[in-house]
Amino acid sequence: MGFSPSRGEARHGKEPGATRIIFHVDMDAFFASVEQLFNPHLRGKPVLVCGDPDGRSVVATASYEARPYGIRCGMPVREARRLCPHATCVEGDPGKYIHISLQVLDLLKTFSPSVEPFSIDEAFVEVTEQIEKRSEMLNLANRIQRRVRATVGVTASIGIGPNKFVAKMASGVHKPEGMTCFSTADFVRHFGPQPVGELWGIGKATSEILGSLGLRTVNQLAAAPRELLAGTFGIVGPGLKLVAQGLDETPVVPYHQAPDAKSIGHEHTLEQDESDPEILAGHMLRLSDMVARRARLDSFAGKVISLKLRSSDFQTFQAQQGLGHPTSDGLEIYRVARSLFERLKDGPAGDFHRGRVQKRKTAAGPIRAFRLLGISLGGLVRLAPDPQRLLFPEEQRYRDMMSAVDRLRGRLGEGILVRAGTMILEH
Amino acid sequence: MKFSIHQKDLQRLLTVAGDGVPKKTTLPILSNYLIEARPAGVRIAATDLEISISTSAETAVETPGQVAVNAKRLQEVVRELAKDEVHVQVDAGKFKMKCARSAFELYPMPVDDFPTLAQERATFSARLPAKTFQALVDLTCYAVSTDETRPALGGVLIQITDKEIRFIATDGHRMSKAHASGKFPVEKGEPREAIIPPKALIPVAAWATESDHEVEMELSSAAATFKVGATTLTSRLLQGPFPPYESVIPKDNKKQLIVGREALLSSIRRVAKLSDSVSHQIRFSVRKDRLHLSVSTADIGAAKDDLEAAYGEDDLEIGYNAVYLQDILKSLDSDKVLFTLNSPVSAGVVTAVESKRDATALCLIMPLRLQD
Repeated sequence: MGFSPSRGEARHGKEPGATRIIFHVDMDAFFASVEQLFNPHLRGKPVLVCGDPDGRSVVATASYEARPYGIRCGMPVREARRLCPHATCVEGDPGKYIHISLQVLDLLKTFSPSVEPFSIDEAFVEVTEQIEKRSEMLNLANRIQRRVRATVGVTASIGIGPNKFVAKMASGVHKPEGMTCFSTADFVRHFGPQPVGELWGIGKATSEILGSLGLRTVNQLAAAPRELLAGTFGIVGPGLKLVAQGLDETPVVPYHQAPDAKSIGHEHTLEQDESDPEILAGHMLRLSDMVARRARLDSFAGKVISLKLRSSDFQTFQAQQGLGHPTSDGLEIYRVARSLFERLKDGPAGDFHRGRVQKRKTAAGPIRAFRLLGISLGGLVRLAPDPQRLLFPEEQRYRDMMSAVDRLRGRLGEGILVRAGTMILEH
Repeated sequence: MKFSIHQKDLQRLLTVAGDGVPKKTTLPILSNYLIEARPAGVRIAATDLEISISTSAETAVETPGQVAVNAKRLQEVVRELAKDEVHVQVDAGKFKMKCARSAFELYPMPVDDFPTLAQERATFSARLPAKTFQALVDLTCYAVSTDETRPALGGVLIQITDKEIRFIATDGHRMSKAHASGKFPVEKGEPREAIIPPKALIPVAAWATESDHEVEMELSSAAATFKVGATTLTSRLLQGPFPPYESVIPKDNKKQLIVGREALLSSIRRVAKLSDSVSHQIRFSVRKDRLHLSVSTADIGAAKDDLEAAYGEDDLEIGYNAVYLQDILKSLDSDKVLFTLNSPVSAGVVTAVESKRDATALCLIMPLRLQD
């Protein structure tokens, strides 16, 4: 259950300032791996995840199979295709990545309560409390890697360090599915001679300025006078020197201490403007399900449902409706969204008044075409999971069925069961 | 329009009709009272389009007429007036009111905008004593759902047979079925049931109890009308279907637990102070002739209490929503209550042992799944 000691208590029993042990878990070629996970035909082949495969976008992630061809993140798709003509380009699908990312985070939380999601494909895990002897560190990291691979189906590299910075730097040393354990001294030995631009947080601009000060290597930066750095970079200056020495005091801020989300939403831009109410309904059902699933994964339920529509002429409408109770049921969200759609669809005839839509008296024209649909769930409360049993057996059965569906999706992927109402979208 | 009425009578009429004024509305006219002066007296009406209330008093009317004035302001002003005769008139398009040395002018709205609810011929009528009606309302209205997506559960199902009247309310987690016996002239083909929102039933019960008048109830296919003395409330019926409530009343609950109502209520109030703010979970540990109550909430703390009880079956651990239990215990009016239980996942039945009320209720409550 959700009870975890606060940070202060978590350290209880150890000396203040005692060496921390922090893992930086970094998913390997994350977007590409997820695409390969969902589509077995892509496995073992070079895959490029990008914005628009036919347009002028850049490579967001290249699978490891594509990397020997010299393809790197940020490279224009056209150039990547020239280097590796048989690579498959896949348009990025954030919904999938979020889903897998949440699964990984859930798994990490079973190893330590102190998990800080850092981006969609990386997280810090503090395991200071979980480890008695330092020799257990590698074992634990190894267990995490195996669990991620076995239960989620993607791979992760783990960097181990006495602070977040060193852990983060270490995770990039051996990839994919590598493991690197650095003490501060190891860090200095490994990165000391390397250019400052290798350090996390030091980009091109900062490197150039450091270079102009004669600070080209990490060792040079580590030995630079504080005043010089403070004078050049202001308040962040001395921090640069510290990280170059492998020092970092920032805490791992656990997931549950981060501010709660205010709402959970998904929106979808349609491939082409759509006016068919059946297809629009299919999209709303899919979005409702995604929102509900996210809410359930995060143990939230919401009382306010809102629908956003953007018409083909780029007008945006929004309406919301409160429920008397918090929900995390996709069908319930869909029903409300659907009724909001009925109120909004006739376009600018809808005016906001106290959150409700009031229709002006206009002749009902033909249904308009829409380019974007969004559904979100607000008024969130933590509800993990609702222990209230229901009086009417068919409602209890429905809820039991949905939790079985969640378990199946959790184990076998989102696509294992879909609502019949969304199948219209497959064509 | 010109009439006079005592401040006390006017304030009473405005308070009664005030239950029909919507708190929020998109139609400005609904924020008004419709005041009608007729030769026999004055009538004040208000509506939110779901219910409409009309109440009247005999008084001296000089010139008949109609006017629509802002309800909130009029009520506030009248409350502050001297306890004296109030002289009301509409003159040069203004609503004027004089009382003792004070004088007020309000700008009315067009009377024609005021909506009238369609009247249909009643197909059924019944009379209930004030106490019976009040008991039926108290025993059920708490269980009505506040979920806007399930409109039928937002009301009380009233069912009438020739021998009894039943009120049933449920929100899907709990249910209350109350009934009172009587003789009702039910004939074939007439509507015998209707779903009515609590906002119609609660004021009617209050007026009846205050005045000790009977409640005259009339049903038509779209509305229900309640008359209490000179006051009439008409409510639109909520659309069904109401769920099949009879089928969820457990028949094989064999374990009987009898506890003092007041003692249990105060014990729940105490321990529930530490319960989870969303689930309000408390735990019943039922032992031989004892009931232990406990709460344990992550990040908050734990509480325990224990009561004497009459119980002779196997030990039982059940979780309940403390708020639901309190609603039930507050609605019952007996020294002791009887829980008939079966398992930690099935509905429990709560009834009064020797009810003092003019109606009896069967309350169902679904448990909360206990962790661990």
